[in-house]
Amino acid sequence: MPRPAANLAIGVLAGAFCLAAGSSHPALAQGAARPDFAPNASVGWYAYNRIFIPPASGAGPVQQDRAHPYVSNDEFRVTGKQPTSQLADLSAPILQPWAREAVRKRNELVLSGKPANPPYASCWPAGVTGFLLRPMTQAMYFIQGPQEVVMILSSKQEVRHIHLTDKHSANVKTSWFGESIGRYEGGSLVVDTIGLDDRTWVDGFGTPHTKQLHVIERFHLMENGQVLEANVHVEDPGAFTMPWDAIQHFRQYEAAVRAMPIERIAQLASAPEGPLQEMVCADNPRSFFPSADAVLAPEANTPDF
Amino acid sequence: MKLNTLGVAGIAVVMSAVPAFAHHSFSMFDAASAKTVEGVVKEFQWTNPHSWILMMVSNSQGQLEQWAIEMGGPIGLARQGWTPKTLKPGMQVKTVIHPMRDGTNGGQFMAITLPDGTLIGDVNAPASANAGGGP
Amino acid sequence: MESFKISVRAGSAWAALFALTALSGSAYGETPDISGTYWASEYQAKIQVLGGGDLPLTADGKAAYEKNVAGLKDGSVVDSARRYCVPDGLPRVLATPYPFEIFQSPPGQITIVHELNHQVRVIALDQPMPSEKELTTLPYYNGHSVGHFEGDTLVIETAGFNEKTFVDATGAPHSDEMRTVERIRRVSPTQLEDVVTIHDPMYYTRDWQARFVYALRNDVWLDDYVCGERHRDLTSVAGVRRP
Repeated sequence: MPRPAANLAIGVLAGAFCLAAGSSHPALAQGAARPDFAPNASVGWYAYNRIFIPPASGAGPVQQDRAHPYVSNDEFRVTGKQPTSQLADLSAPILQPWAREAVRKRNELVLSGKPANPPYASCWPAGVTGFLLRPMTQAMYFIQGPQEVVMILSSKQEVRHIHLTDKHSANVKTSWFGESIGRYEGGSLVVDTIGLDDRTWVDGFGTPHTKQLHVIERFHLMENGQVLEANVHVEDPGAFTMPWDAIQHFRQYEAAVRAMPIERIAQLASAPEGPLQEMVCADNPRSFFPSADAVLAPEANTPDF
Repeated sequence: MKLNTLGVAGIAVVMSAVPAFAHHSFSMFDAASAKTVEGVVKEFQWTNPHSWILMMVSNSQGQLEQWAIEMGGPIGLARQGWTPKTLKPGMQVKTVIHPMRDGTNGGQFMAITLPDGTLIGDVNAPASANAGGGP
Repeated sequence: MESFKISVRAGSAWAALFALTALSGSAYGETPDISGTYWASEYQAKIQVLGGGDLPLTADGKAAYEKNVAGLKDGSVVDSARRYCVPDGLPRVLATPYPFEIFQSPPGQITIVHELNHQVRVIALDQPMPSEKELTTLPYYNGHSVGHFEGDTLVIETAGFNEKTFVDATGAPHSDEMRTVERIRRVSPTQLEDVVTIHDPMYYTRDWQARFVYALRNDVWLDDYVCGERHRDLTSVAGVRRP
């Protein structure tokens, strides 16, 4: 190809490159690699645990009281062991006194034999950190759009919106899920959330938080795309004595279903591995086992419109 | 009409404001014991987050009492071969449950024997085996 | 030598451009781009039959409608979508006065995320409808949807509905045998239309359509929605009446 025409061709292509990059993929324009958490509609992510994994070093999340080992529903399904409730180790150094007291009160309910279930057990939102602890049997899905990433919990169609922009709004109203902005960076999706109101539990221990809660999550793939890791950094000077970190891992299947035939799994809760299925918490949230400490599921006394 | 999942017209059911407990720990059930409950199906609720078998059971005084047996949601049940029509009101059944630890009339589903003798549920599964019993 | 180097650079640039085009939100190859955030500017509690006239109800349909209307009035029938915030279902959710988003992802799926009751609709692209057995075993509020593109139009077929929803806010009925077909397309760079066909011979004497139009509103971020709480200002949506 003669040189002037070649230069023209390259110039046109380079121009088109910049145009396409600018219009749809700000992250790509920065040259960052975009991890693919949803290569097809059937990829859903199941949590490894209902309790955060502590970081290798430094301040970490509230953990289970060792004197009262935690047996999850998931373990029961496969082994038949008596399930127990989460019971916090109150010596957790990250808790301010009032937060420790709130956790202690819940511990007391559990020790007295009451279920002490979290608000999400009654169809209220799980919040941001709680979101990552939810998908044990019902998967979490990512929808990666050009301007936004949406995370969906199939168990209650709980939705988190992460806007791919570099600045929070000037005036962030507080809400159950706050305002999440994100970017792709070095093979991770980095999510920054503020504006969380104070009604959710940080974890299954009832660890409270204030409106100052600030959560930074890094989602990235490991083990050849088979494992999703979330590195969670939590700051809340109103509730915690120091910032702390936590880890959660997700796999693309429910562990129990790989451990034994489904006919032998008690209380099988999961959908077949595949696309998001409809599960509506408000379908029939009432229990026939009344508990003094259960909260009502959300309902509207007057129609919204 | 193909389906009548609740035994009443779906929209006409008025949900009473009972404290709810949709996703909860199974710690309220006694995993170490298996209780057999015989009675008549009053209602089979094929719903999320839990399906329920409501049964009318004679107590020791011969009076009928309602028992509530909690199951998983429809998607998991369907994987194990259940349909909304597997149980119908009026069916005489024998259920095996992990009973409520607090003595409430109810428990967690383990197995059920239908009027025609079909047994659904695996009483030899680990979650049943530790209970040390069966129907 | 020089011309070889030039064509290698050109080749790399082509590859990069192709990769970007394949990934970009505005170019799905042959597939039209209907993604975005949409928000209606008017709301009607009573569904409007395309072409005018009343709902073509069968005798059973009339009876069911009257029962719903009377029940909603005296409280014996609950509007669960407004009271407990279960999904509105189809076609009622198409009248939503709240914004919603259409994502053309993950590959093989269209995902519609509503602000109202944080409902999610999943449409499997180029897949067959699930079997009758699956549809009747697992009836959904929003049914089971499969879709495909025909030119500029996304065609969504839905079946396997439960009977827990109304056709509209006045209580118009549908049975669990209802099947719907939606034809969704951009009618202008800033407007999307959804023409839905209702097929429910138990309650309606013939198939009938309704048309919904939405403005493209990529400036809007969807809010949380929890039943019973205060939600966004809907004064921009004509016809919304808030008690």
